[in-house]
Amino acid sequence: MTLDQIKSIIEQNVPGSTVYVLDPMNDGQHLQAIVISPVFKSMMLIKQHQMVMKPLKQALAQEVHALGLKTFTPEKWEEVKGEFNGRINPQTR
Amino acid sequence: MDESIRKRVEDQVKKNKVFLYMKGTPETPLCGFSAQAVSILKGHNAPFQSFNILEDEAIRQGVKEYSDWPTFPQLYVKGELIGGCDIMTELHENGELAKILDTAK
Repeated sequence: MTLDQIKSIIEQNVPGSTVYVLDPMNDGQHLQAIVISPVFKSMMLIKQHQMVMKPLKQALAQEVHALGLKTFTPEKWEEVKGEFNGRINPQTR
Repeated sequence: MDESIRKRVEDQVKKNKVFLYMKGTPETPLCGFSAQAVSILKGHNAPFQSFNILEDEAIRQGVKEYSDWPTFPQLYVKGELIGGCDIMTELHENGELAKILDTAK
């Protein structure tokens, strides 16, 4: 499962999403996904995470040890994206 | 899921206002994520009950199915799944966890 495959599964399952998939330790095993979508508005955090993780579950169980996840509404993302500067590789967009 | 297992899980999360499924015990957590969950709850002075899922495979599988959430720890407040270690940490840092735990006082 490549970073691009993960990104595309998330995009297909979360309407209107912008997705970044990172490999911060460069080991292909401990990945991080940042998912921004308006559908997260008024959803509890656990529901947001379930929406992202459910379609990925099988693929991740087999090939990836861990996927850290951050989910944001577009409004929230505008507030916090500065914290992610430098960690988001433009090529993974 | 076996009905008796489902009932046991439901009783645990509904009869205890704050309930943590974890690996190990609050005194001796057997996983860093479970340890962090315990530490967050203790930091809020939130009384909680817990269950060591490593000691009961049927409950371990049952909880995963009940919550549709694949990993541990899992925190429940008033019968509702709040999240695992990542979500607890995020809610702790943004102040939401204090509000959620207040509803269980």
